[in-house]
Amino acid sequence: MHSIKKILKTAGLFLLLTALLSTGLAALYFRGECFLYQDAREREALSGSVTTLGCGSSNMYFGFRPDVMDAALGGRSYNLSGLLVSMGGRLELLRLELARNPVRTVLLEVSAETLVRDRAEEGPEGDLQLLGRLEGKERLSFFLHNFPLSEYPAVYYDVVSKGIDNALRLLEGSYQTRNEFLRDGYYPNAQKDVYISTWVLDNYHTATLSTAIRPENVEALKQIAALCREQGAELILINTPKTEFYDARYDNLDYFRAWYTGFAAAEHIDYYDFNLYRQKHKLLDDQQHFGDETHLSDSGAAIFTGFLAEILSARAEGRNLEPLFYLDYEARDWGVGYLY
Amino acid sequence: MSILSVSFLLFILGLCLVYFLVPKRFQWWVLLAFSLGFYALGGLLSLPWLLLTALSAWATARYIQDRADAEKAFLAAHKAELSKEERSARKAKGKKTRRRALTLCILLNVGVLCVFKYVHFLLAQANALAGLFGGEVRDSVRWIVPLGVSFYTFQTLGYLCDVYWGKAKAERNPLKLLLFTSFFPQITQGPISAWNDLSAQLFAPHSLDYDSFSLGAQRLIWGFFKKMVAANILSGYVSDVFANYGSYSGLATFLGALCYAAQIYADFSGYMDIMCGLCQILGIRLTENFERPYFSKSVAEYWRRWHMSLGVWFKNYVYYPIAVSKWNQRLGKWAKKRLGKAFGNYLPATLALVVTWLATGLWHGASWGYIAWGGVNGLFIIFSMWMEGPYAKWKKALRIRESAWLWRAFQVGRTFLLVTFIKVLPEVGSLRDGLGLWKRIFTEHSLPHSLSELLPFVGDRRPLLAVLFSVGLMFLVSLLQRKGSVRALLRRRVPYLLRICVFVFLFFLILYFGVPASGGLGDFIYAQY
Amino acid sequence: MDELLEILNDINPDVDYETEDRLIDGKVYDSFSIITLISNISETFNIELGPEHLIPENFNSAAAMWKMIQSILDEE
Repeated sequence: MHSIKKILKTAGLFLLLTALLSTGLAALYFRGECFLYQDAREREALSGSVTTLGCGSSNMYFGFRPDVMDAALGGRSYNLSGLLVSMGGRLELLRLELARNPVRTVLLEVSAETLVRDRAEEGPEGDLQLLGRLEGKERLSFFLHNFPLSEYPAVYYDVVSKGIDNALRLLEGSYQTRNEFLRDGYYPNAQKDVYISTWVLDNYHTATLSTAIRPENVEALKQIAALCREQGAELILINTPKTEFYDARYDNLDYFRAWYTGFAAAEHIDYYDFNLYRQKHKLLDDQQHFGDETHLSDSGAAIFTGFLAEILSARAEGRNLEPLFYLDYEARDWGVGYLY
Repeated sequence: MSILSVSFLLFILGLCLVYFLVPKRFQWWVLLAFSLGFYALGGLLSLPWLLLTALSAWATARYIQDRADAEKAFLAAHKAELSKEERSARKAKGKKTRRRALTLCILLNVGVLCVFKYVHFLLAQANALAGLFGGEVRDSVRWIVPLGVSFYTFQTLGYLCDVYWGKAKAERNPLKLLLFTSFFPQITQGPISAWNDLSAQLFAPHSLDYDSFSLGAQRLIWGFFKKMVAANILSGYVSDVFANYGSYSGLATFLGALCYAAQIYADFSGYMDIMCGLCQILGIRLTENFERPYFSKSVAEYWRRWHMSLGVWFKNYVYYPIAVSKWNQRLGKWAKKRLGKAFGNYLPATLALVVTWLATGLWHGASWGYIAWGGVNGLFIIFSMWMEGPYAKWKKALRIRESAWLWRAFQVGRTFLLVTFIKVLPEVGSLRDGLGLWKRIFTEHSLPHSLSELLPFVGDRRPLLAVLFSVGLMFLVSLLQRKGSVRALLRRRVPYLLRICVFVFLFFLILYFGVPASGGLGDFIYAQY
Repeated sequence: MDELLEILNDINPDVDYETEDRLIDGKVYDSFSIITLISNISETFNIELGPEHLIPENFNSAAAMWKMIQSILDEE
């Protein structure tokens, strides 16, 4: 008996000290904004003034420039996107921001990958970043609803090790509580040394995207549509422009275009695929305006946001936008000159 | 199941709980169940081979024991009637029968071991040979080597030999022998235990005891620290050096070799600490495998302090049987007459050593590199045995005092360098790669101009600091261990709460440095045996 | 017994064989010396020593060795 009591006391103290230290480190992580994606304080500062939200994954994260949008259309935009943000994550962020801002327009970025992404296969990285972006009870509820029990050790490790990173930053004097990487949620994608093939024609229709659409992604998309209706914001689905190389390479992009068009019609919202924008291949050059196959660079983002703003402005005026876009990818391939 | 996983932590937590909750007479059943479960998780298809070894050894040992007992009883009962010759004849016949059973079982199990371990090596040699005649032997074998086959086969055959030699009594319960064979803390990397030692531990009742828990848990955490922080970060450096030494300076390559020496010690002894710590919590004492080996003063001594259980096994079951065998003794006598006293004394031992060391090399790996490694080690030991006399004379002439601090430091340094060079040889890749690395160290003499040139294999700075800290700590602990148990020292000198803080600190170091370093890198090095 | 002591002193003269009883456990005799010891004992006393006799209890002291030799001789 005496042994067991002593053992419990020692083990208990060990766990208690570990828990205390872990809590302190977690606080250091959550309080600070030393990580790329942490923008809670920025969003809070803006709350009450945001009129346009751009939300998506990395395509939108690197592609939507709020400063260009605001210069063209007025109002106040914010880029809610993030790397690897799951559909559930997007829903959570939109719910939060729509509740505290007079948002009129929500630009939701959607692509083929968005529907096909499998959270179980991808792992918790995207949701872990969201844990670092949310605050207080939203964070707790997001944690409880989006992580299976088997991922709890991974969450613990992520939060505590980032806390230790921050503790070391504190010692070095580089601990920051305001995000210095993003501009209104937008991340400027510097031109990288990633090789983008110029052999577009040689790679024409040589690959196929997976069409295994996951029901949970569709469900989250429906919930986002419902949320926007509820909050009186207009939801517009957009597919950001990719490189010509990407657009030419995959042979089943029309499958997803058709899917989104159908979904948009059912939900009575609009869907714009900017890969089908007739000016796209003239305005955006693969080598100059993209960081890699699918992501715009900083200069490309400025151009894209520019013509996105034009489209939105024309739309607001009630003009017919159909002549500005190709009907589908096959028509586009004819128009651009891949087919003779 | 990987040792470095949350699943393993839950596994051992479950084991400890169940072990101390069941009535003491069922404790070994719990060990058996968890051991078989652990083994099945590692590879269900390998389980039949493990069972084959355990059951064949159990049956053979019982047979041998029964025959020996029957013979003894018979001879005792008929003491008066039998003449001396009749007794000898009977004894010889009995011995022959028992020996035949022993040989069969050994051949079966060693055969299985060799087939799995050496099939690729033999096919490669056959292919090379066939190539000389323009032919080809293709290796399309995809068998999975049973987990821990090298360890459990040796451990079980050791039991069998002990029964044959009358050093141990055959176990009547096959399940008990199965536990001895499959005991999971030992199955992947040893230590190889003797039946008398381990069975006394496994089948005795154990109560939950604070000291065992506390000391065991400390050792467990220390083991994870060594393994995940020191060994796994170093393994990144070592892989880099082994792949790229061709473009590194000799000095950088040499530092890489030193990293390997530290890594393999931290990895292997860290694993031992984890398992010994776990067993200590359960009240079981495992054989030690390491005794500050890098403080050895000679290669022979090194092998008495590194992977000790393997050395003891080879000594008891290969070296001694060969050295004291009749033909070897006869050879010794002949050598004494023809070649002098020294030859007479040393020749049997030398032959036994040659066989022992080539076998040790082969056991470590199926390649010419490992055979060469075994041979080089053996050569050093044989050489030092022959040179014992002359060495003593030279030391006297040079007036070197054995106990002098400087001399001992020289011996330790020299041995460490020798042992590091030897152990690196088979690890780089093929034998040629190993020799290439040696050549690089000795022939490339450029001096580095910057830290990154000196340590081109180091990436981020923080893990390097963690490595330096952990290796430094290991060195300090080793120094302190010479005087006695470090954990006992902690208990005497460090207050209770502060001691807990020390281990909490180690836990966070393991979390911050060890987890990223263990993402797939540096699996326990000896686990493929 | 004298013959045994002669063999022992030949291998390692610095040991007091009357009192020393940890020749194996105390690592006074290493594995080379043991081999020499065994070959000399088997030659001198004309007995067969096998691995079954190689237990520390038999070799830890001169007295233990003598006892072992006697028991082997008795059995024959």
